[in-house]
Amino acid sequence: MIPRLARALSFRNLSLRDLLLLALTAPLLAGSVLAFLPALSAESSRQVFSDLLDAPGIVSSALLSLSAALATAAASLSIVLLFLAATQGNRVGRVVAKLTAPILAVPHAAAALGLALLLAPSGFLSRGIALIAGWDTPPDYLFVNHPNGAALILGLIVKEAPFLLLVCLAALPNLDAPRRVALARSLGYAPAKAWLLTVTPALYRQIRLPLFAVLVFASSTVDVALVLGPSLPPTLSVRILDWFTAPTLGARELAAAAAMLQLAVSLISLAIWIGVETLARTLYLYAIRRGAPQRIHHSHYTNLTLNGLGRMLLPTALLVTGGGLLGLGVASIAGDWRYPLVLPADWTAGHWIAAQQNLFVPARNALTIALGAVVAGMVITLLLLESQNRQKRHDGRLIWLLYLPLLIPQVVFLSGMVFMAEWLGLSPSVFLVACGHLLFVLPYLYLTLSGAYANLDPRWEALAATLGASRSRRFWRVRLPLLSVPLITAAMLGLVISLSLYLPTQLLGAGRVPTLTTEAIALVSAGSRGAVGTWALLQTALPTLCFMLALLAPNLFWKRRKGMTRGIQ
Amino acid sequence: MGLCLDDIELSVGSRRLLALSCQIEGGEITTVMGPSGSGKSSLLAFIAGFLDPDFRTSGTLRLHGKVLNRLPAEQRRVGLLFQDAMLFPHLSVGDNLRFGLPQKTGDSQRQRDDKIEAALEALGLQDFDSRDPATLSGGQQSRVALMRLLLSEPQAILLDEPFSKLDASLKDEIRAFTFDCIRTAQIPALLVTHDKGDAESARGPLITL
Repeated sequence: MIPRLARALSFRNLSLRDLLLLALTAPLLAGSVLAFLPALSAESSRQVFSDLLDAPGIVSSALLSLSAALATAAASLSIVLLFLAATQGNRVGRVVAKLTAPILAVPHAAAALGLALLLAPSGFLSRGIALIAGWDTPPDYLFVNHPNGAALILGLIVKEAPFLLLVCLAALPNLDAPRRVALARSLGYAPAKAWLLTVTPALYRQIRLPLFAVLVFASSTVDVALVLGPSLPPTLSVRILDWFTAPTLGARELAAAAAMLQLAVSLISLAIWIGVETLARTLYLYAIRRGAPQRIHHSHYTNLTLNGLGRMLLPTALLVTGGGLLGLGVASIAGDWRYPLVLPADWTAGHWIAAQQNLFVPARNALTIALGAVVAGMVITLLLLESQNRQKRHDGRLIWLLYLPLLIPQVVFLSGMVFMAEWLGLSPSVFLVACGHLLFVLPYLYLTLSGAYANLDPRWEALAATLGASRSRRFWRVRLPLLSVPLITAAMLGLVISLSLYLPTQLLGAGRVPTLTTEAIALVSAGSRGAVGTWALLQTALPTLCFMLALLAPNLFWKRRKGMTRGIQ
Repeated sequence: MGLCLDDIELSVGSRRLLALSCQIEGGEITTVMGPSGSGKSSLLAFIAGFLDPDFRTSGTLRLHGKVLNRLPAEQRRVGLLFQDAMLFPHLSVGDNLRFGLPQKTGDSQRQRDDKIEAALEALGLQDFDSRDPATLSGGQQSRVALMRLLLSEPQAILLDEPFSKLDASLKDEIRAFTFDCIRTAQIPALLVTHDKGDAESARGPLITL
């Protein structure tokens, strides 16, 4: 009995890699549980929950978060699928795909700030209409911050659709889409419909996890909601943050109870989505079983509509973000800019000069945190991948733990991690924030590198070994240099992600570790249009720089080794 | 002496993949032919030391009397030549050659550079030391790959269909050059191929799986 028990409990089934994964996930899991503790350990936890339910507008807040999640995911997915079906890798498709990547480097907060500037009552759009319609006062309408959350959802879509597009583009090469489409077309289906019917099911299976991440993110985003979301009442996530940081007695208990509600909302959004998946599958089978269209003109209009929407929607989303950035740029150097004027009457560098004096500390913090998180994340990722490689094993049972930070609402486990840090006596610091960022950077590093690692021709290592190279020499002198291009790409992606993170910085830094992102968001309620524009652009600058480096670095680095940039691996 | 395969048996699960015994003397090129799936590549992986742990093996593998079975690949001194030249794309032509050059005590950098220079000259590739391997022609790449192998001073050579991707015009020339080098260096070699022509010009024993 005892030996059997001992064997069951022993760690012999756990490899070192599994232990590393568990150690990495421990703070996350502990945080998720600890987040609820203030509510559960309160003198009367029933009282805390009834207080939460009595909080004005709490149901609206929760429903807002839920609808934002579902609408964002559904709209982003539709936009991307229609775009892919309408373009199918043609020239337009390739150009738009190239433009998508830099848009992805624009932080959520900056994109949201740009969108607010475009669509506010006195924003660019309204000024443009005023020019034609002859308005001289801003119209009395509310879009940004409207209680229905439309602006919030739009702000999420313009960032999540490009993200999903890149995920799809990464998955597509293995699906042999052109042949599937050719087959369906030979059976009488028009191109876009052929793509949707034959490629989508295979593609969907591969993008399910990122899609779930989009759902959870949209249900719990804080920075986008602060800029674009309603304020009375705000989304659930924003209320958690408010309660969490409020100095009043009992607010933390309320925040903890709300965190439980947030987790429930995110899980419900996933559950509803999975339900919709089933429905979609049924509809799909129904469409298939109706058989192939017999007369071309019958499906002509459908095809035109599909093609038109597909070509229009995604580029519009990109244009909105690009236009928003342009607007931020104009605002940042605008002097006198009375309402109906489309462009400012005079210009000033004042906002930039003012920002310059406060720039150093936030920029240094942002860079230190990002570099720290990416270097640590890179070491961990390579450790995980190399140990798999040596044992000639696949990902292993526990690798899904790495993706948890994308599937649990940030605000939930981060608030628990703050309690944990307080108990451990860790004061808010750049180090603590970097540890938090590491959790968000890791899944992306792993996703980017595991494919490259697995695809590297095993003969390189065999060859090096037969030439007498030891394991470590093979790793440092063969594998790492051959993978240098994906390594650079992954590192830059990690930097982009870390530089854009708002909530982990704000919570783990307790507001005392300012970065470019937190400064830009802090200005939303208090700052002038010019200051917001300046800081939003400053916040965008570093990730954009990283993105350009990712494009240029391989060619500069391997200028004299053509085989390295021609994709010989 | 030489490379000695003693009652070698490879199997996956309960399926026996191949069984063979043979002895290859220095300078001799033994050819193994057989249909796909007959275990040719597994045999090479077994000798070089990369066989997937899923395989079960029995028999003794000896190189100049030393038992190789349990040695890691980098200590076996068994060299490999693939279908592709596989010059490391991140290293210059010279550094590709230096990669496998054994580190001997008392060997100065100067002597090592001289060795590389002499090797390049023997290939008719003087002044190619710092060249990007991607700029070499197919034939030049094959020759550099063979030279890299020889400079690593292997005690046995495995050839995995090394000429199958070459143009017909280049094939005979590279094949003759490779076999000549192996014979001159008196190294035992095992050639796996589909091509009868390879087997004929190897002029050694033929094993059909």
